[in-house]
Amino acid sequence: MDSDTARFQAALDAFVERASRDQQVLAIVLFGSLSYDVVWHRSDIDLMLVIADLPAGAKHATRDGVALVEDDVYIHASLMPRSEFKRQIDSALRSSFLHSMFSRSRLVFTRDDTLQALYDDAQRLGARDRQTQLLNAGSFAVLPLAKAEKFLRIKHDPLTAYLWLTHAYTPLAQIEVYLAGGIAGREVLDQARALNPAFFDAIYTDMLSGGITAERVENALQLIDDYLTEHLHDLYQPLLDYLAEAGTIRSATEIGTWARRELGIEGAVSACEWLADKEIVTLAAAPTRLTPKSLADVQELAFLYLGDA
Amino acid sequence: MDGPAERRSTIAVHGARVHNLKNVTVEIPRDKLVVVTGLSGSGKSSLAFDTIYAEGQRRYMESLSTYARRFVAQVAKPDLDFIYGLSPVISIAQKTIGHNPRSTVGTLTDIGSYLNLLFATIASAECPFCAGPIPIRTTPQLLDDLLGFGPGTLVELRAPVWPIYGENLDVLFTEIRKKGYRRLLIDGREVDLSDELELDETAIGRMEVIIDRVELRPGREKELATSLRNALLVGDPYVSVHLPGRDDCTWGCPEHKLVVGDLQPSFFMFNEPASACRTCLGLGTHLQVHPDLLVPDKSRSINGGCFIRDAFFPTPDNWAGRMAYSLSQHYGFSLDTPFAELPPDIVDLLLYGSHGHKFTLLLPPDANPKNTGGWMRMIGKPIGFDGVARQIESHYRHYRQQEVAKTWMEGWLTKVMVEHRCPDCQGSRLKPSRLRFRVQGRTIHEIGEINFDELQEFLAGITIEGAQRSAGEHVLREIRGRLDLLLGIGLDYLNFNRRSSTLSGGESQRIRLSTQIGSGLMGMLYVLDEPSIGLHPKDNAKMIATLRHLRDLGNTVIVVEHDEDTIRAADHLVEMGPGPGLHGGEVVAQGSLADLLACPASPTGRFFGGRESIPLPAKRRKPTGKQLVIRGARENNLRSIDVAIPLGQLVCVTGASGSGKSTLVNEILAKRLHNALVDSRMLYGEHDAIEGLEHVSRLTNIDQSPIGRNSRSNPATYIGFYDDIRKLFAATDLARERGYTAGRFSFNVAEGRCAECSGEGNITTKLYFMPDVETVCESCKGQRYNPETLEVTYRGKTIADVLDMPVEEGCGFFADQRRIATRIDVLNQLGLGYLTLGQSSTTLSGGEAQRVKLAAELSKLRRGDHVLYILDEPTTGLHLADIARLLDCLNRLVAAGHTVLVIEHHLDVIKTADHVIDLGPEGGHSGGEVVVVGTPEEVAACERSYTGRYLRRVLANGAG
Repeated sequence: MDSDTARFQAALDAFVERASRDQQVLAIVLFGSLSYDVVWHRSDIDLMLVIADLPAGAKHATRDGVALVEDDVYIHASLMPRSEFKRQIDSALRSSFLHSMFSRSRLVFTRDDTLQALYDDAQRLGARDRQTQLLNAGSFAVLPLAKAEKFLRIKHDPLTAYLWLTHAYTPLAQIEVYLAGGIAGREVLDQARALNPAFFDAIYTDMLSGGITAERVENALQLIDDYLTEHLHDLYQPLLDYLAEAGTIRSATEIGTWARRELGIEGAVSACEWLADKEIVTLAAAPTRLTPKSLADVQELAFLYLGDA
Repeated sequence: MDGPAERRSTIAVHGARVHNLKNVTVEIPRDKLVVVTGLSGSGKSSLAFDTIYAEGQRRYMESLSTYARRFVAQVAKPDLDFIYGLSPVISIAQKTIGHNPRSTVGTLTDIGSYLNLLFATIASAECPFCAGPIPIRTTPQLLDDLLGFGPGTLVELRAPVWPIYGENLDVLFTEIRKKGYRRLLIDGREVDLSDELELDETAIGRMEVIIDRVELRPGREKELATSLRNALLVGDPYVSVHLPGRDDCTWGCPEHKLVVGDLQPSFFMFNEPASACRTCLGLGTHLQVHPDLLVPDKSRSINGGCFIRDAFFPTPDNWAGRMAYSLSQHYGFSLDTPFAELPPDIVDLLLYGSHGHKFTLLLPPDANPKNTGGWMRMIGKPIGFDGVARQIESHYRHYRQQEVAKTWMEGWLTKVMVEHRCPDCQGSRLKPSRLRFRVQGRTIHEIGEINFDELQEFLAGITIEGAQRSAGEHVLREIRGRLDLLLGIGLDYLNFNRRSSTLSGGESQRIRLSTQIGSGLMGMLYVLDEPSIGLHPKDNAKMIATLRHLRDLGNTVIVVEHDEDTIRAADHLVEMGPGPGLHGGEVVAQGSLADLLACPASPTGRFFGGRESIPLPAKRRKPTGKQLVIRGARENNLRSIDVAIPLGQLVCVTGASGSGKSTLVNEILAKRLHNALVDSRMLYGEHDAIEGLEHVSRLTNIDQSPIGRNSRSNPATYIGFYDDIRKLFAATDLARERGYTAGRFSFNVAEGRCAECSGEGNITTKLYFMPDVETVCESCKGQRYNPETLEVTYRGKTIADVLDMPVEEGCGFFADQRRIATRIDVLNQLGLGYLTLGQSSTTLSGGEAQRVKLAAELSKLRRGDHVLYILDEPTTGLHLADIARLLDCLNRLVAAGHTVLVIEHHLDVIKTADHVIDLGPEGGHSGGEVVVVGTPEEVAACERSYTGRYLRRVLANGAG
């Protein structure tokens, strides 16, 4: 253990000892560098203090952050009542930001065994959540691709095309991590590079090191397209199942509502557009009107999926 | 001259000049039942409502802060010198109470709130799984119970959940996740909602969310309370407790360990989003597509446009066209076959879809060959069809699920949809969990269905034991007291679930009256508008008793009324008149009935004293042999009755309030005729058939609603002779010289009217927290036209002069213009000679508007037509003298070969009818039958008929 880490660990121990004397503190969770990464002299200690619930109706006086200090080490602590802590863990779609935060944290103190059980359980990624997260990431990954393509192929501007491409990196990296059964964290690109270096080097780091050229951007676009096509069913199966079950056209409004109500996600229509581009689903139109007094029909974007038939 | 307020025993009005009031000065005794009577348009309402009530209201408003006044409609100061002796004033007018579907008799009377309270206090709960009794506890009680398990005990709190109607389980699971829970027990098996679940949704019996596991320890009560609250929020309002690893948990239902926690009155309110049925959001109804609205003309084919255009309009180049063509090819039917001739399975296919069956999508042969695009890729592929009706319903559901009930899309969809009972809550408006609570064996919805007369008995039978006794009895007393008031004014046939929008104006007025009496206030001034309307004579006595009760509480009650019994019951009478409109506006007589009888100028005195009367017809018309026969009428409370309406006669439909008269005439007959003659999309009340429809060529409903929506409507425009008058002006030399067309003489056309007031004649200035001020237009001096237009004259009169001309003067002025003269003559003959030709519709009374409508009808009588005129209580607001005129009009229509069908309680109208149909014998569930039919004499001879009993007396007087 280097001297910085030892100093920070000692400060943490001292703080935990002090805070655990407060009966209102039920558990302490450690996040950040000291939990899973390298500490240096300008690090701080990130903590979440789970505190006892307050009486009904009383507004809890927790603050987003309380700046504390222990042995000259800054401690950034957030306070969360027990019921809210439980709600956050259970409602968070596995591998969402909060979940990923918990997954790389450490429970350094608890006086409540039920919290220990809850914390242990938060490390697991359920299959339904995984599939939902894949669809979510898959929908956001395709959004910037068309723009990147336009800047490259129509406007011959590889730099702006690259800028758009960078918007797809995080969802692509999330896909890679989820496919490997992992939980996507804050440094998800590093996680994904470790899992699939060839792909991520080609679309990301090679361009940073070797320069952004039209050829490299073109290559990256093609690789991404191949990657998404290869994993098409892993990513979009719930959406395809929904359309196949309908057996007829479904408008963008209907698809959006379905995704929101049944999966709690947005962006499913972008995925449909990409699938239509791949001729997996068929682009269609559903008649609608713009205002209550409109007499003319306009066509709302709609899609049809005929299954494997 | 006026003494101190505490000794004042009268309300003194000095110099009232509102509308046609001619500087009226009158003293009205306080703490008495005062009836203001007079002809229609004589100034009764101007005195009672527009002077006394308006001034009382205005003075109250003045006591409010200017800030508060910005939020309420302001009342202008009535034109009068002063009023002394005013009390806080409440007006109870004849108004149907809005169309808000959330308003019911229960909410209107506030008794609904007491019922909610009663249920929250004394209801018994049942286990949703085994229907056994389970305890209802408060949160502190539940906490005590839990702590009773002892320190160190690990308790698991669970909340039962149920599938959401019409949704798959994913929607429920996503909701549970959003609330912050992940673990669920499905029939005892624990599942993690973050996992993929393979479930047979139809086989699931019981689902419970695991809310929390908490170890009981001293000092941790707040966590336990929070978890308990969370459990109750999800379990809504059930919670079950389990002790992991132990089987000695004694908690609630012996088998399912459920209790109900923290029951609040809001739990039973359908207007509370958390308690309302999730499918209908507390309306109790749900819209479904009605095939008749979707396909209004079944003689048309699909290609001929049988569906309404908005819903399904196939062309060779649109989606509907490809779908229709593909369906016709696959299922073997022709798109040119009239819809009515399509086999039932094809109709079902078109409306409700292929039910998962796929067919090949084809391109119609006449499609544009240049068509490209995504569509072409679908051609030749298998596809399913949702069905036109199903697609609309799914759109409707979608917008409902967004919980934006009033989107424009919903407005559009509802054109082809009709209300049905909500399939989820079956009309109870509440979530299913709310119906697992009972008082004396009945749910709150069931109690709301009981008619008031039976409800009183039911409530009397409730016995309350235990700790809730004193609170429960207190609530029960409140409900019984209010119910007594409703029964006291003859509303025994109503129930709490009845929608307010289905109440008649009279019923809603009586409900408001009962709530006022329930308030128990004294020293108030109540102003009522014809409370006898809609009341059968047998119920009228109850109404009069209620008015007396209100007076006896220490209030002044001023009633605008024509009803004989009410007039006879009054402590003091004020008669306005002597004539209508310009000929009225004075106090003709006041004092006791004897004072009126002694006054020769009093029309009331003349009728009541027997010097004038509505005579019995010398002989009644014989049946023409033609008739309309309604078979098997069973809408609302009608008991599958057959009713024959002889044509070519004056026919009265009578019966107690709520006996089914309006249902029979308006809901079944009128709507069925409208469907047959005007618009086949009109839906009508349930019945088997109506025979004889071919005898009727037109249906006209003549009510007392205004003849136009704005101040620009007037008798001349309504009856239609204004166009002819404008042509006369356009034909004058000056007009022709200047090139003025008839249009220039309309105050709706910019070129001829006054630009300053846009032809209104006056200008309204808005003054924020003060009432709007209306002033005569300075530019045209109220003449409504610009100076150039007014330079054109016809026989020395400008167009403004003509509009200002009384009808009686107009008869002479236009005598040589036959088209105009005949129609003005009709107005004059109907007793409307005092109206001006251009009198704004907004200044006409209901009775005047009704007569203008009748005049319009009489002036366009055509040979060969057979018109059925329907009038629902046409005597509303009419004095006996007015009624005599009305009857004259109606008889003219019958004499011209038409049929007049009148729903009426007024015995003077009933006695003159050729044929009477008496429904009843009582209202509500005790009504709905035909009691007797025949001439008034035959009805009078029927012992079972209430109408008959009262009619006997009137006929005897008439004969005498």
